[in-house]
Amino acid sequence: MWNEESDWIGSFDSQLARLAECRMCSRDRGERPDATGMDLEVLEVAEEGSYGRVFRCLDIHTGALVTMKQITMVRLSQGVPAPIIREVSLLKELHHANIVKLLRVGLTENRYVNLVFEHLDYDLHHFIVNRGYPKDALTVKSFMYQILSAVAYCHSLKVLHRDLKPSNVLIDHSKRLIKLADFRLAGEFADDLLYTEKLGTSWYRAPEILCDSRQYSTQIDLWSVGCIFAEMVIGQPLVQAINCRDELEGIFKLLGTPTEETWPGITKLMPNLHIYYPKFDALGLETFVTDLEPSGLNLLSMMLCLDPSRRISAEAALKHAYFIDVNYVSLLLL
Amino acid sequence: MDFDLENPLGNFHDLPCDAVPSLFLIESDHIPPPNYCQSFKASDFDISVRRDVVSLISQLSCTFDPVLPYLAINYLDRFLAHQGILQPKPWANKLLAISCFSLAAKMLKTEYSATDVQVLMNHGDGGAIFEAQTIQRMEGIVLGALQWRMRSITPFSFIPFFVNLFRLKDPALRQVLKDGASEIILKSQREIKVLEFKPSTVAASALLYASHELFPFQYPCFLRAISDCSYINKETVVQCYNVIHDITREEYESVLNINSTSDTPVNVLDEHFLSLESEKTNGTNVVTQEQDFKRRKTTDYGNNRTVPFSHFHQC
Repeated sequence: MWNEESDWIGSFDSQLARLAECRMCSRDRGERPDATGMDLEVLEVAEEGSYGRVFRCLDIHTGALVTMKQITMVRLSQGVPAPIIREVSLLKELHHANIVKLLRVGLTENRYVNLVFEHLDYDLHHFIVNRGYPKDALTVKSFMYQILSAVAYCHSLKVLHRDLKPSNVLIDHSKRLIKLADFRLAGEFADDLLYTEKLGTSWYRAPEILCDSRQYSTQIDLWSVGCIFAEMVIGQPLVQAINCRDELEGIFKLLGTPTEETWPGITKLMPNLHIYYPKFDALGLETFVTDLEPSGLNLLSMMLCLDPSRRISAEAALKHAYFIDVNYVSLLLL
Repeated sequence: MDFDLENPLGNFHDLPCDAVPSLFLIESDHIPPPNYCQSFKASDFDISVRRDVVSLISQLSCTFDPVLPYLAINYLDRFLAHQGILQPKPWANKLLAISCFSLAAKMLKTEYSATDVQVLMNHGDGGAIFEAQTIQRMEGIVLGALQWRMRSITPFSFIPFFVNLFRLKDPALRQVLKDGASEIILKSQREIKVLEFKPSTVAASALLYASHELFPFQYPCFLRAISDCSYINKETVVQCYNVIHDITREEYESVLNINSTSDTPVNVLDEHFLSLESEKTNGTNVVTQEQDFKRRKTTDYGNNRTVPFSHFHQC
């Protein structure tokens, strides 16, 4: 009846399946992207990732720019993969002005799930690198307020982002509007990727992740937001290490090596802490993050708190004195 | 059940308070549209076909958590509402049943054997074996019709919220009440009539029904707590309660093979709603449980039309 492809991918374990996906992507690199039935004109390949490819497209009907993420399906013997169904279902329930909107979903025959998102001009990474970081203090404050609004919304629904970093913060430049993107780490993709070592992936990771704790919660996103906050002010990542161990050491140099007093439970979490890491005294955030007003520095220190149980929540952060002069009317008009 | 998007339909937990408005605001997106019931009422054939597919799903799910068939049947109803009525072909109904079951199992992270599913579906009639790609195509069609919104807020999502309103201190009693309400919700889904009501209304009505059976003396307090909830329409809860009552009684009578009598029991919910209204009109402020019990005794005493006490248990 049907031309059933041999299910050779199904015989791999999840790790090898991921490698197989990469090989399939490589093989596809020269091929035209499959946007069958999506009513899109593909303009360019924007990104190649381990989960598939990202294309800049034109919506044929509206003329609007959109972003299409193409996820390669594996394990077809079980139908549409469960992680993809769960992930898309999650995205479908996120409705917030500061979260990028999933416009529609399409399935191509036996191969891809195409996710079509609204398109925004820039991401914060490019904004910082190419245009000089937002020197305007009000822009930093506005961006921070919007990021925290989106994070607070997600956390109220018990959704963690898990991969907050400047390149996942999209910007509508003309409106100074922020939208969070790339919730791909939700659910069962999350833990695998959270603990991989890739250049640049550890710079925004919370210390409880870096020391290999599997017990984490919403606080990990607040650490990431704190790193983004600092980066907007100083124009570069706060701690730029090449692996998790060195990243953790950089954090300890900055904030002081934790003790049972500063981080209750740390000796259970890291029994060999003082064997592997020198006992640093805190240099203090103020020595690195200059040009930030005192209330901003106070908020930053509450986000970059080593002890996750004492780190500020997104909801509480929105009420911090730093935001007291945010022009709420202008925010609402965005 | 918890409104935890990353673990939809996971274990019972208390809801975070700030998530409640979200639940009530968007629950209508996860049920068939209002005209779905009317379209079924127009045709006995359609009702029997739905019942057959529901039966197929129940067969597939008989060894799994009861929430799985609930979710699968929710997908079925939302699909039918979107795609129109079923074809009168047994194989198409089976394919749809398998696909809804499969999607629900994936959302719930439930492992199942595709081979066992095929065997169950073909038990006794030597029907077609579906290729994996056929099932995948059907899954894709269902996903598209439901716009990939597989999260499906169900009555189970609201039970913890309402139980918290009841202020039962004993965790064991809370669990008994939750289990009773869950059983009622699962039973009532089989009937098309319940689909007219929002999940929150079904949850409230099922809890009231269960509390009336399990905790008759505390029932008036529970009723007041539900009535005072600003997210709930009281009149709709009355209607839904009556539907649940009819369904439960039908099942009870069919088990005992008792002929229905012309003597309809007094509708307890109506009486208590009237009683509450009367209290409000009289300017009564706070009624303690003891006072309430005393009042009922007084009412029973000397009122010839009052139902005898034993009737509260619907025996």
